[in-house]
Amino acid sequence: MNGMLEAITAQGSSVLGPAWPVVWTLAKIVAVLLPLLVCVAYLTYWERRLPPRSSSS
Amino acid sequence: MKEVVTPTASSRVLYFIGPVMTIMPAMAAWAVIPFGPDVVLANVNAGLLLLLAITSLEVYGVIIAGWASNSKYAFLGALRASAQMVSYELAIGFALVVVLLVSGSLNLTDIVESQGRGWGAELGLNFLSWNWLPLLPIFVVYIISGVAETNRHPFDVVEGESEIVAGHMVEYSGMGFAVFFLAEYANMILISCMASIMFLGGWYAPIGLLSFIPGWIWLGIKTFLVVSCFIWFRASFPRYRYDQIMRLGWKIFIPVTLVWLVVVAIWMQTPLNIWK
Repeated sequence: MNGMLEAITAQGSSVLGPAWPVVWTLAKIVAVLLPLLVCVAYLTYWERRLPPRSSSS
Repeated sequence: MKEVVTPTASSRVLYFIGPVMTIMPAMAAWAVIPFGPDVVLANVNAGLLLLLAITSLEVYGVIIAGWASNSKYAFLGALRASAQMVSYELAIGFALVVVLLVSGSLNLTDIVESQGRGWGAELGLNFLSWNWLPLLPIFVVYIISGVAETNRHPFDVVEGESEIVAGHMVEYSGMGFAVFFLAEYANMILISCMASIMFLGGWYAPIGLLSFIPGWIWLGIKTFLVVSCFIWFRASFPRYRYDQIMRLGWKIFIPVTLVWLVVVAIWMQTPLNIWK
């Protein structure tokens, strides 16, 4: 895992130069927030579906 | 009501800032959440303090939204919501101070790693070393205060079909309303993730034999279980009255956490200290 991250960092900094830290930070933020928003969406959906189903059975 | 409708007499700038101020802390707080020993956006030494500081900003979004709507219902709803959030933030704060006391660090990674030590972990029964067991009253207070802090059922008196309708959100429609809604659920997930980190061992597997499963999956499972409790509470319990909510926060939870803080502090000075 660490080896893969180091390879990405080395490749990214060689391609993007001084812009790489900004791009890498934004990528990490997206990596955290995207799954969070998906979880929020499915949690909302699940809450609307589960309690009515359990109360009707 | 998919269209964004702005009330004529509202304060337009503040009206749009309100929802943003509500969802922004719920998103920003994830910067210090550790998903593994080295998997964290910002490994801040005072991570717990930063988290409390960021999440406490959320109440401003509620107040701004209620005031800027220029509606009696929205304003009364905002007053109710903000009073409730501030009250339960104190109980949550004191509960986290107890965790801070036993962990000896404000760094969230250190707090999780301190739960990976102890006689339970040595036997391969990691879950017996987590904070939920020795700090059970605090864990219960944290979970219930978390439900109240997020204004969720049975503490959702900020909404009331027969009196203040949708509370501080009553004048919002379209994406403005959706952002408030998203913020509520994002906060639920954040509070649940915090409960997993503070009391349920974070990324650690409950049994040593299951340690081959990646830590972030364990953190996800624990967070999911706590979030499920939020849904279960909503489906099971009747709504509290507003004065009962405030009494529970100020007269029961805050004294309980303060007393338990002293008990744990004394416990740590005895030979029976389990957090060495």
